[in-house]
Amino acid sequence: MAAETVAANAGPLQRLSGEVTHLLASLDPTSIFGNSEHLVRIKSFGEWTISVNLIYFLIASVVIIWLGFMVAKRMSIVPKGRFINSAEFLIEFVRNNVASIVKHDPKKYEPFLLTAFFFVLVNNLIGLIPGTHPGTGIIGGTLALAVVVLVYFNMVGIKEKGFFKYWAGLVPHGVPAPIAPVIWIIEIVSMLIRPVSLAIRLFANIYAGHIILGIFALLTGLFAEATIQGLGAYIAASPGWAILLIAMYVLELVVAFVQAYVFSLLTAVYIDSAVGSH
Amino acid sequence: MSTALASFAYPLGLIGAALSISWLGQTAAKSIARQPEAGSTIQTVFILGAAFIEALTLLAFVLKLIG
Repeated sequence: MAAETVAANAGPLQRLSGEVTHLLASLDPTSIFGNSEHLVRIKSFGEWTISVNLIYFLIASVVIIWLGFMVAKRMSIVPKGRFINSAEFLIEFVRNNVASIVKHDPKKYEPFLLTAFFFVLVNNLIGLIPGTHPGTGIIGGTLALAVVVLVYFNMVGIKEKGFFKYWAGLVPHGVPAPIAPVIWIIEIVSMLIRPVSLAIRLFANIYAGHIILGIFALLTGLFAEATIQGLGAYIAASPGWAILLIAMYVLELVVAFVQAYVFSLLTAVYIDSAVGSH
Repeated sequence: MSTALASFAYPLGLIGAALSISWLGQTAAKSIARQPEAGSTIQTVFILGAAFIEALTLLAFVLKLIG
């Protein structure tokens, strides 16, 4: 890397382009260590590759199961302690705000909605630990969750209304007979778009946030290094970058919660439209 | 020149999203002020609407990053 040795003595802005390629290499989902010289590639089976995000997906699943056992062990009429109180707060929040969207018998769908909320939340939060690649930060992860939601709300609608009544009921009442097949096809297409939009929304939020954090951390590091080396001109800018980095981190924390809430809220809306009103 | 112009794609798309979400926020605030007891319903509607609009914007951002 001759270009890097030559530019090692240059200021931070000149070294930026070399470091950006390093950052982009670390975002490659098939590598465990981001440094391209010591690339450890996860096994590919022909066309299909397991990404490092999948490993964090599995880690998040184990964490959720462990958290579930920890909460169940401490169940009592009056909750005591910070952990169980915060868990109860989140559960009550999902119950009151998300499950209440379903008008017809919300208690039946609470387990699925709670699972969706906590799964997305824990995956997003694990992505905020420096060096991790969140399971929801790759389109495969979010698409898998969205397909599960699609299958679930269709199954729920079929179980509630009966097979033929459910598919026939996609067309709203009061539509005249000649254009009903066209409306039905449009409804099927819009139903198939729903998991795609769910997946892209979650993926784009988490992936973009990850990249932004990476870039801000990069710039903070470069400016801090220049300050330590004594290049006086960069002292003024380095606290600014650090503050921006902290602000972006707080924003990503908020985004983690909001995206989990939006995912489960939209699932509740789809369940409500599938179960519907008689 | 065309690659420089291509970097305008994302900000131009962002204008529509920013305006829509601000409009939505304004209407939500006004209607909560008018009828505070409907507050939580209006809050739900606002978050839902903002999520849909945000999805489009972020799709543009990620597509720009990828290709």
